[in-house]
Amino acid sequence: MINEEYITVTRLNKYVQRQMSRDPNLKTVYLKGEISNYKVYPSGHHYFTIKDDKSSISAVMFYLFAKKLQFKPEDGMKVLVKGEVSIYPSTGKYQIIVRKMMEDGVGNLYVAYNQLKNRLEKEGYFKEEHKKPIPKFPKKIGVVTAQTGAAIHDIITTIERRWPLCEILLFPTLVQGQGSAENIARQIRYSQNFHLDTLIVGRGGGSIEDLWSFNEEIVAKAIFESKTPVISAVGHEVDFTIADFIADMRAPTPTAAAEMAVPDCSEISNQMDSLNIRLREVMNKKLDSYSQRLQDIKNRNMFKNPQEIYSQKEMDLDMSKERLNYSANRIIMEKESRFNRLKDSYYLRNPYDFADNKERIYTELSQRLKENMDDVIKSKERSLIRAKEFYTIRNPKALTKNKEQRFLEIFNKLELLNPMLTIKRGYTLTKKDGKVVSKSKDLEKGDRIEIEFSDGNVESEVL
Amino acid sequence: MENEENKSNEMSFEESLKELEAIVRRLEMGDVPLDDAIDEFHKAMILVKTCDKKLSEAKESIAHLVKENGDIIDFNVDE
Repeated sequence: MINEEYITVTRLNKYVQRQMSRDPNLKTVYLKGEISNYKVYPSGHHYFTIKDDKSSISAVMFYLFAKKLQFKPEDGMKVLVKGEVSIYPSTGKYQIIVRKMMEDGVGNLYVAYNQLKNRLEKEGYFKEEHKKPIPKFPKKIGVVTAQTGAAIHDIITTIERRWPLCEILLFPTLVQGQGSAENIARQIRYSQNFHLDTLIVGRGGGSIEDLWSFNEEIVAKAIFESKTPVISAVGHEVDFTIADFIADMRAPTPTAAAEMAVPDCSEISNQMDSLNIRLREVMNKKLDSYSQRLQDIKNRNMFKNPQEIYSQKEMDLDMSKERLNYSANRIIMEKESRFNRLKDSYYLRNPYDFADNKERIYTELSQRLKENMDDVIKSKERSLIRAKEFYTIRNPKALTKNKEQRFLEIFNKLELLNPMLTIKRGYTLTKKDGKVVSKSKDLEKGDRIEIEFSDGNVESEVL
Repeated sequence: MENEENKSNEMSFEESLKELEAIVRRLEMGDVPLDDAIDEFHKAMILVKTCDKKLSEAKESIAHLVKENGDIIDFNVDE
């Protein structure tokens, strides 16, 4: 534009759109005004104008956001909207794209609600660790709600139907309007004195303003500080009240709160019945098995013929007795007979004979010993003398002389047998081939022979 | 026996029911000696009886209104 360059409308609109989208102040705008020309298109998008007495702006609420509306917008209605300012490029008209819309007057409450909710959340009031468990079988339930109206009626009838075992204490309170929050908080604190198992705090459905006391800090703190577990029961489905965040359990309606507070009698009854059946079954089974065992035992012989037990024992006893008798007698008899034998023994009767006998044997033995001793000595002495007088001992040389003599005798005899002696006397010895010839028939004519003389040999021939 | 009954009367319904469940479970385990089992069974029967009695006796829970001055008065919802 500085260059005086001409641009298209489209470019301009795009440029403005871009510029606007960069501005954070236009990104989230809180706007209040009055609705006019409200139209819902078949696409589900809502188109309308928001105006005040001097100005107006087009507004669109797309289907996704419009379906969350909690009221039905109409022309002339004063509203608070939250949205983004933008330009619609094809017309160049600028508009607000509405994300959230509420009726004006309620709006302040929402702000307060969000501020309180955020603060309490930050301070830890909603933390799970603070939640107390709701007793399963309460005996005494407190209800902080209006004395009249559907809420208390629904709670009492529901509890009576489900769990008539419990007492209900109503702490009546205002539930809307001036002073209701203080009243609710006071009754919650007051109920702490009554040893309640569970406390239901709530009211039936209503507009956001009607429910407002349940968004007050004073109620939130009273619920938080309650020692009794609290079920919140504010009749609305869509949003939560602060009380719902604080309570130990949240119910969407008073009836639902009563259902959470007590068990169902018929369910418990069924549970009891089934326990009872199981109990009897298991007991019967046990008894059956024991009585079977007992029967088995009863069937044993011992019980059927009990006399067998003692007749057997009787027999045993008899046997034992007999054995006892027998062995006792035998022992006595044995001892007796030994005793008698002893009693009758000779020595016992003649005690001195034994000694006398021994003395006699002793005397004899000693006599014989004395006599024999002399004999033995004498005989040994004799042997010694004889040995001393033995010839060879006295003449040891006689032994050699004797042997010499004998040798000479044998030598002379041998000398007589020497053939040479015969030859000396004139005999000759004829040999043929070195062998002595003693017979003439052993020689033949022409044999060469040798004739031995005492002084030499002559060779000759047989003729 | 009366002692047991008193005891189970004093027990809260929840305790009674829990005890009853525990006994049934114990018996179903099967290793309880007969004498103990009979004792347990009697205890359980008393629990069943008192629980039944509690359930059937209280036909209508009693609703009261606590006044701010502490007075407690009957409260009837059927209006």
